[in-house]
Amino acid sequence: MPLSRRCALLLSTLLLGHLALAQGPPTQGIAVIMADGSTEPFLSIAKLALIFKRKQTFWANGQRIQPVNLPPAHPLRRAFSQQVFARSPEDLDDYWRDMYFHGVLPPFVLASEEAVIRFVATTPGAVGYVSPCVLDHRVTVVLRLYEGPACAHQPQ
Amino acid sequence: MIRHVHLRAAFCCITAGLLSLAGEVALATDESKNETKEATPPYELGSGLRLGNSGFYLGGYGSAEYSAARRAEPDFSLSHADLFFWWESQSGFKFFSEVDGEYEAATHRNPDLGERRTLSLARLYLDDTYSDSLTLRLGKFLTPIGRWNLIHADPLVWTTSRPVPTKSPFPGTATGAMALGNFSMFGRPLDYSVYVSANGDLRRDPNEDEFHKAIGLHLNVPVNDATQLGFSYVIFSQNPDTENHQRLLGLDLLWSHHGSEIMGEAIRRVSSHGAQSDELGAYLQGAVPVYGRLYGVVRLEGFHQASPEQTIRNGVFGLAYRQSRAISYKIEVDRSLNNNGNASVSFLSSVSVLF
Repeated sequence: MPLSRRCALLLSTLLLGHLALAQGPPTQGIAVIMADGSTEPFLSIAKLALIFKRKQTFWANGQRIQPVNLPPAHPLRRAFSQQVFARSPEDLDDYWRDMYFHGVLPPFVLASEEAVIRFVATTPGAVGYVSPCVLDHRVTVVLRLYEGPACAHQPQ
Repeated sequence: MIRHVHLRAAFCCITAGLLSLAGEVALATDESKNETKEATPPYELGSGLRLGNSGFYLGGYGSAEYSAARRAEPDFSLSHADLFFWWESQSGFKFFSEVDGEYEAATHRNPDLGERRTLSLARLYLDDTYSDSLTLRLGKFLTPIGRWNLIHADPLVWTTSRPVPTKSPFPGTATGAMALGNFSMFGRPLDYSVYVSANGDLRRDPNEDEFHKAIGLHLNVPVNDATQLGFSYVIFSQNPDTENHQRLLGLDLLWSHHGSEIMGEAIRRVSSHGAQSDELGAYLQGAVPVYGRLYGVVRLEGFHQASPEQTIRNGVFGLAYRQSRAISYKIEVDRSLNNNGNASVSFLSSVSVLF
């Protein structure tokens, strides 16, 4: 390879790397999380919909799934509901009313993203979602949804 | 009568005991670590009372109804007071029970319309879940035919009255064994249930004849995000005429989009006693948001009944106000016409609460 082409390749690699670093972690979207070391490396949106509708209640290894939600008014919950179910949390009221009649309750609701991270990190089989900017080593991302509110917190 | 009083007393004692237990467990939970507190949601109307981390839940629904019809005395009644009590383990065991109190209090009861004071066991079953595609159920459960029978509770449906084709041609509950679950089909869950019912029923509802023997299947297929199609098939005989072997085929539909809903069912029941014992019926119901949480509801239904033989056509026009997920108010006018030319108009209203 001629020297000039090698230089151009090196320069473009450095430039792209610099751009990536300058961009930092994403500040928008939704990170679907499980405990660090989880056996599920990746979840699809279709699977996520089944889990959060309590249609799928077991992981492949036989462990019970423990999905957790944020409160219905939380911007992240609203964005999650639209992207996963194409409906608002209120639009799912009829569904949960019917399920309740059969003794099936909606996922737990936790008040904050920090509470979701703590619950997911310490509860076997748990799955939740938070802003990408609050992620830390306690959890691992199994799906990233690119639409969502901008981060309320500064990325760490 | 004495049996009824004893049952009601036992029912009240169990409820009071459970509520007291709930208080104690809730208190214990408050004193525990933060993580547990976060995972124990506060009680909310329409979502059941979780008894701490015991795995026990308590819930139910109640409805009060006012009805008036030509040539009938108007009545106000506590038409349903149902209590759910269930327990679920992490390993997949689940116990579920529903006690149904009908017309416990009423200014006037019309027995011809099934308005009888009864306390029956609507459901009592044990589930053992092996995977999402296989749960084994033993006990008394709702007969999986069509859609209405599986969600017939007053706060869940749009009208106070129930379509005749969803009640008359088959018993609403079955006692026996069932296998149920869901399979993923093109990324959507296909729900199935296969069941058998043996002779007898656990504390049956006196308003209906229970299955003598039954074997049946129900499938629910989501076509897209808004539409679901159902298929039911059952071969059965009922008490007391156990020699009448019957086959029932049912199709059902649910379409819901942005608060509007269309639901319909069609059934055909064929009897071994000949065509004069066959039954055929269908209904189609639409609900649309009119203003905020106020919905307009229209239902048309037709039913050919074997005994006494008649063809009934009903039209129901009403309004339903869903104040929240748990509370709904309904008013409706039901116009009924049979093939003898007898027409009747009745007015129904109700308030129902899911707790």
